[in-house]
Amino acid sequence: MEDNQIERFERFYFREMTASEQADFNQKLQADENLRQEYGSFILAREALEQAEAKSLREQMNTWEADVKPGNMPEKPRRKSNRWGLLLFLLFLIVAVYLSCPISEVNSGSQISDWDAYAQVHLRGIERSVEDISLTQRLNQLYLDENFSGARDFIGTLDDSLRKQPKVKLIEALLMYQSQNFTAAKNKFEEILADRSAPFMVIDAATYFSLLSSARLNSCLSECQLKLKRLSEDDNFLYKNQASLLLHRLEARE
Amino acid sequence: MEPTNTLSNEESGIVADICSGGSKRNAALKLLYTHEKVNRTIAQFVLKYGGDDHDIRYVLQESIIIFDRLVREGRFRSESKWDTFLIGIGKNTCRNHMRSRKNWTSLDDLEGNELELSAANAADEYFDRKELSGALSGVLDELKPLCREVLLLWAQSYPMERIAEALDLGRSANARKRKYRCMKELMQLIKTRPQLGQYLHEAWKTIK
Repeated sequence: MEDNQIERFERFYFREMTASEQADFNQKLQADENLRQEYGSFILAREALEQAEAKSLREQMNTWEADVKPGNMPEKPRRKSNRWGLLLFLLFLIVAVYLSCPISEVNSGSQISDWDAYAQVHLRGIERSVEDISLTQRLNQLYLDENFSGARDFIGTLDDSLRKQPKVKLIEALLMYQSQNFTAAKNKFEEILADRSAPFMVIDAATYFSLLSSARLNSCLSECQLKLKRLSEDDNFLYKNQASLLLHRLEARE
Repeated sequence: MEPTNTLSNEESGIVADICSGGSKRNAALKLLYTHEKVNRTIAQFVLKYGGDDHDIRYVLQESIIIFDRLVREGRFRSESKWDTFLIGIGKNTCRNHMRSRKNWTSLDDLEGNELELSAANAADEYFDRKELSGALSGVLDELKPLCREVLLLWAQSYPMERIAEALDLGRSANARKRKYRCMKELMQLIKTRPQLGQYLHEAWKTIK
């Protein structure tokens, strides 16, 4: 095999041939089994290189995720920071309204349904990411079906080792939140956040719902603001979305 | 007739930087990976179809890998803006990823008609290639380290001058010769792998 044959393969592969060269090469491929096999091996060699490159690019992207700060975002960073400033200002106004009119009183008797869409996303993710699928599926289903008393009863039947599992604790905390026992819920969410064995998705949900509990309790104005600000600046864009979602929700409640 | 390759400065910059290889390509890919609109749109899409943050990261990374390759192989013609195209790839990658899990049975409302056809085809094509990865795994390890380095730098679009410089090969012509020799060696190794036999015969028409 001559070097110029590989060069020809490259030019065909990278679409650098003229239309007539391309048609000519195509004809040769149709007619010559050996050439087809040679070109096939060229394509597979490229594929092997691309797969190695994709692997290294994946690793590279994982490091970017940790490195990149929202301030370095290429798209209109000044507008972005103004927007966050505006949202934080709105949050301040909303929390000021809370002080005179607590959410828990305004919404007394309401269910968790307004937050459910987000809870569902988390729970689905957790369901797939944990080892004991049957247990969490059962629990999550009870919760998503709004069979809250069924979920509480089910947790009551579990032994201590299962109840210590972070995802079970999360459902327990969500049930407390649902029954508007925000103090207990907040404590439980914080207990989960301190648990180093908790899977990422559980931590993600606990972070989000502990903020919600704090907002409902009206007891940590500056802390909530600080956490929200931190979340909005987090490298993980999901956290940013959550913070943004929470701010919008709070704004809508005004 | 309108020219097909009409790029704005930003777009042509990204495409040119990816093609340049090396640090410019790295910077362009980092820009794509951290691009707010791309991140937000793909995240919303994956969440909408029941995915979680792991799925978002997976879809975003795979989409950028596909986009990068299309650009380097001269297959991004820019009939659309690069972000629209990348998001199109993302949507289809999301669909393929969710289907592969088989726990989403109804994705009929996946806004398929919103997808740009070429982006959809590209995502499908790369999804189909995944079955090759097992058969090709380890083949590069059979090459001598220098050969592997030369080919990997070439795959990353490094110009021959840079490859020669990075690997201390002297003139760029030496790097070019070395690359041909190594490519020949790799192609030979592939031909001797029995599990790749079927792909060898079909590759010329099924891939590319």
